[in-house]
Amino acid sequence: MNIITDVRKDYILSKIRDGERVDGRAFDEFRKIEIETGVIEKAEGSALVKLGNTQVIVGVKMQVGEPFPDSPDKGIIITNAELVPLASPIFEPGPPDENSIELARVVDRGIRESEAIDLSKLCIEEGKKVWIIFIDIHALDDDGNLLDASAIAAISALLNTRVPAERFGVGEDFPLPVRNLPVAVTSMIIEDKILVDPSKDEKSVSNSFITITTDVDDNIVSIQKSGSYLLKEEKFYEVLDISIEKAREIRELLKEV
Amino acid sequence: MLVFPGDFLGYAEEFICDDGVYSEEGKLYASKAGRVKIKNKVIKVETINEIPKISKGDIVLGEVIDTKNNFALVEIVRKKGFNRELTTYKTAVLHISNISTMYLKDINEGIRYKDIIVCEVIDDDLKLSTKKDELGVIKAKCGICGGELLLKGDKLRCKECGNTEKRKISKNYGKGVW
Amino acid sequence: MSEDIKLIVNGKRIDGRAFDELRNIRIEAGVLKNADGSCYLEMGRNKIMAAVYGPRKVQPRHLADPVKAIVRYRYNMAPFSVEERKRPGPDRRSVEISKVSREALESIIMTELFPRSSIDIFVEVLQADAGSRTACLNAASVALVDAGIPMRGIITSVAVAKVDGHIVLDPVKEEDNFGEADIPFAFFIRNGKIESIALLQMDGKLTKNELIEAVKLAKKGVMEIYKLQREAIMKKYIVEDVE
Repeated sequence: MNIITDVRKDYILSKIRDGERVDGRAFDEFRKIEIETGVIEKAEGSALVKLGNTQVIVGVKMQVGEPFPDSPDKGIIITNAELVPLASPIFEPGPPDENSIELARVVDRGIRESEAIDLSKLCIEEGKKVWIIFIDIHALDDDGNLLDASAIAAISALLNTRVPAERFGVGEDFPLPVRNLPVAVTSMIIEDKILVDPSKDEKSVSNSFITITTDVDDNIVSIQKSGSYLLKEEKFYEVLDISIEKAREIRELLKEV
Repeated sequence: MLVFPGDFLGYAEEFICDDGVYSEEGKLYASKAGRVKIKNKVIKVETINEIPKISKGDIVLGEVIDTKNNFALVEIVRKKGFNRELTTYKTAVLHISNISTMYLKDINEGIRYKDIIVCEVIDDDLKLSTKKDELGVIKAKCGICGGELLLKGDKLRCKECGNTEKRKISKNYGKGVW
Repeated sequence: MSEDIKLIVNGKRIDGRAFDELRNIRIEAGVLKNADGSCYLEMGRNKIMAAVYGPRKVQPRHLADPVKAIVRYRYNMAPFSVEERKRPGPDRRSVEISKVSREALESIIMTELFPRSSIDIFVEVLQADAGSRTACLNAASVALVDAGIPMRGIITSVAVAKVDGHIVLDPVKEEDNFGEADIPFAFFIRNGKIESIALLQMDGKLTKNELIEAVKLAKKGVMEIYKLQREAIMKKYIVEDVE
């Protein structure tokens, strides 16, 4: 730990104790969210999301393949995340580590469990041919909370996706049937305070996170407590309420995509 | 009294915490399973399966990893009476004056690099002594050819090349016990 | 497929249990010779072996932390533990489970007492039948106590599921596969009281009220498991007394 970050940590912490955040946000305030779709022409769907200075791009590619034996009439979702070294001095090249695996799996769960994609409409020939959707998350700049940015980018890219049926000789292209809008909200818990959308700066003072993903009806579809810390039950319910409310706000942005 | 990790044991002002006990917000809890022992207001929990801690009076097994003019550095690898590994790397100092009851002109008359030795810990800063009969070198290799040194009278003789060397030899040299 | 299977009939579950009833649990501590601490645990048809090594020297050495012990946790499924042979080695699911399980235990292990050391926890799933990560955590906790590793209390874990519209405790495979939600929990228990949440994951679909009900049910479940974890350790001391 170098001296600069050590001193910086004191500053961030003392601000938080005074009820303030270093970037002037309220505790329950997200950074500015910008969504741009269709940024990669070669992909079936794509989105670039900026969450403050955090930037992530998601590309959706589709292929025809065999269904899983236990769901012969349903399409398949495969989600992957690459935390490439370009995006942060602490990311290293090589196979995905536990952080990128966790990121991909939490984003995947939100989409899967909210049943955001009507997978039964992605069956071409029962038991033989279905559509496989590859959701690839590519981090560009990690200024904290890559997870929420990735989740927004993933659903935005899916909303932007056209199924390339003509290219595969199985009919006409059609838009991907998206029917739900899952939104992930990550909070950092520090000294009994809840900070939504923690920046990289803020993450240096705490390793206590929880991500709650909700759907259009405010159902909870995914939870992930992350980091070695103990969470009080009352605090959990508090985070739950904040997450539901914040997700509603972000969902309004998604409706414009 | 038998306790389990997290069991409440009393208040911080009543006792002094020792092994297996921790204090949080003025309360004392067990951090291990075992028996509570209280002596002179010092409270501790004794478990069947203790983690080895090196302190004054312990007998330890080690390897000489460096020798200087008047001291040697010893990497401690095991505490006597324990089957468990030590928790981390522990390097201790054996001063020339603590090697033998007799005067040594040269440290190499007492111990040499790579010797395996049994020592007593003589203070909590990990200072060692090999003065007692059962302490000292228990296994060593020839400085010339690397062959095994065997006990021959009060000296060590190389099995391969016949070279003889001096050491502060433990009475258990070559027996595989310590 | 899932629509064909009735998971709740006449208020009873597929294996005859009530909604708030755990599967049979058997715990035995100190079952391995090499490890510093170990535990064998059965939770329903889950069969779990956990081992703890350390605190010991960190290998490789550069991973050592000068102020505290590092904790490593490896959740591994044996190839024969599930119906269809599982390819050996860590998959993405195992990596994630290992991460969140490690974090749960790390939060109560007194790592500050052992700078530059590692505490390595290895958990093998010999047979899996839903809730294996919770069974593994329960076994790992007991193995840690068996190894004499200082902890602020203990971690006890159980899953809750939503099945045919009901919130049920400790689901079996069928309930997990065809249920509407799965929520693995682990709690920090101290002095016989639940203090806080150490692990929490969820996937499926639940309302806020259902989630609150799930927490309540999980808390009931872990208190029963906690008693068994405690007994498994205490048995060693009572045997010693008889001798």
